[in-house]
Amino acid sequence: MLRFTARRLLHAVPLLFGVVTLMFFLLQLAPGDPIQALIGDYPATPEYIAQVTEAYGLDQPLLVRYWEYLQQIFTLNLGESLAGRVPVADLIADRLGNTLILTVTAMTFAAIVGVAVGVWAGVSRSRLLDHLVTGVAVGSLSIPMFWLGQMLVLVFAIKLSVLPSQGMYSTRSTAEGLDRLPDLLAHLLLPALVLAMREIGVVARIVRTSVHDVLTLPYVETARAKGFSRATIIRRHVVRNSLLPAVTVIGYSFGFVLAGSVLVETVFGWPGMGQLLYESIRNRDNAVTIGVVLLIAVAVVLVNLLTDLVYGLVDPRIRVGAGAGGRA
Amino acid sequence: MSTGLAVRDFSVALKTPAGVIRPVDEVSIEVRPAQRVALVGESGCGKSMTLRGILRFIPPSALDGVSGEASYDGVNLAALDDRQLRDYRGRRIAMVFQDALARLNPTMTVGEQVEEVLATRGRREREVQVTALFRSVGLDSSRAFRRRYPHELSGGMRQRVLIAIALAGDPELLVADEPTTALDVTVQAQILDTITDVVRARGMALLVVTHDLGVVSETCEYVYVMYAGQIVESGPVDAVFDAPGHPYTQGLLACVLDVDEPVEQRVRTIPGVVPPPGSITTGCRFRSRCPDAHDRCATDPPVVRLGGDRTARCWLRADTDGEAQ
Repeated sequence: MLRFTARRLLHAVPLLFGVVTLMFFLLQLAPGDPIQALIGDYPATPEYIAQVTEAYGLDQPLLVRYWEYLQQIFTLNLGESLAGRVPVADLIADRLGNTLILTVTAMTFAAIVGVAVGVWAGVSRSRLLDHLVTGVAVGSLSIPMFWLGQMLVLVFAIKLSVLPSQGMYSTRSTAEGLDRLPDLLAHLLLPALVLAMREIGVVARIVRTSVHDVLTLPYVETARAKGFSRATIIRRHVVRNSLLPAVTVIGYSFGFVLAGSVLVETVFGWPGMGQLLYESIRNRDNAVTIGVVLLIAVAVVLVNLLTDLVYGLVDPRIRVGAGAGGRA
Repeated sequence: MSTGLAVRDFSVALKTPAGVIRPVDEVSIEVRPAQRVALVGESGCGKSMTLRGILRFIPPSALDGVSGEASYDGVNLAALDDRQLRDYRGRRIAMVFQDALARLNPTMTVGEQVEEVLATRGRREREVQVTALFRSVGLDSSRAFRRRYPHELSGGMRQRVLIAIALAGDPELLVADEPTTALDVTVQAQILDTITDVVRARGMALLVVTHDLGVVSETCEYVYVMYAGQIVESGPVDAVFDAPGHPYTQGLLACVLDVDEPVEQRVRTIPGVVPPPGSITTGCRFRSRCPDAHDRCATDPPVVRLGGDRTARCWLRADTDGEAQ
């Protein structure tokens, strides 16, 4: 188990190196000029521009800057933001928690609802219900997130005025500590729902198919021969075995949700990493952009590792580190 | 007083893309309490489908309908609703299947899979019962073993777990569908011994479905020989094996390896294969493969009573031995 984890983490090193390299050079290719973005639309003298360029080390040849950046990353230093010269690590640290609140809530919600809907559709003997659920699931993963987000804002925040549309907390709120939770939840509802929508569809579809398959397996007939009711059979013998493909899908969904959080945080003004990424791209603040993307890559690697470990918990046949067992 | 399983003129009709077929055609079988009975025949002759039809394990989507009677203790199983049927499954009629790996839940320990059948409530008492069950089928009854998963066991052990599951409901009739087919020859013999032992010790009835005449002679007292959806011969195992009444049974017995014979003569076969259901509508279904076929076989042969509780569905016997039904 430990060796497996260590090996997987080691395998991630070349991947992260690739992410850094790719991001570094891609951002150089992107149109626009960080110095111009920093100075703004004011007319500036060439001397001033040269001075700023030198101050940020941007006058160095590309490969030299790449080498320096790599050395810096290697010491776990993500560099400084162009705007304000704040360490990138601090910027991210400020936002990471907020993004985790949003994405973990969305994933948990998506996993629970997706599995429930999938099992419901899978065991249903009504074809209409089955088709309906499948149809809605396909629909949910076809709707663009930014559109859905804006529609929900229009309906719930603007027309009905029942939910806030921006930020994490009300600006006028004076609550402290745990008392802020209701306010946070109200703000969390819409963006988390938008983020979860796609994954609910993905998970529900996988689970539904999986339940269908498991229901035809011989061990389910064994359970029937034991004299169990259909409900007991589904609860004890079908659901858990149907979850195996869902675990994989939920794990890999996390990457999509992180990517989706860029859009959702921007639409809902959620002060997380996605918003930070969006702003850094607009401002050509390359160190921040690479830093956030790198962290997302690390998160995806970690979640995939976690997925494999959870998979072993659900299915004893692939339990990591378990021997072949006694054959006699 | 229990009267056991009584199946009379039982037919199963299935829906297939090619139309409705009848893989089980007016089969009559009886299994009295504590009696050990075999249903034997080649692959595709309809023996498993007979079982599945009787115990209602055919998916509704595939089933066109059943006719005739399949009753247990005088209660027609076909007429029961789902809830009533559940009272029979596991508690009165238990099943042992082939391919034990697929028949066990891969994510549940073998101990749990046996324990969940028990009707007893108390935790301690359940543990005592599970331990006793594991021991009675020749398995290690330690907690560590009971906590293993099916994939961690050998094929023979898994088959024993299936037997323990079947016994856990304390049934009156054990139905075993090819219980030793996927196992090594040496393990087969052990499993058969286990089944015979527990059935005898508990005074249970046994219905074994198999293609293996060795299984029949080792475990059963009475045998039904099935061919192409019909029972072609029935009788006490010893009598039938000594002097088979139907050419098909003769053929089956001739196929059994006899180590006393010269090697080149040991392996015999019946030429041809079982005709698919629906391909023969009139006459004797075995006639295309029968060494003794003649003109009369084109019309339906009678079921002839041979005396000594034996029957054979063959024109040859109608002339010489008994009275046609």
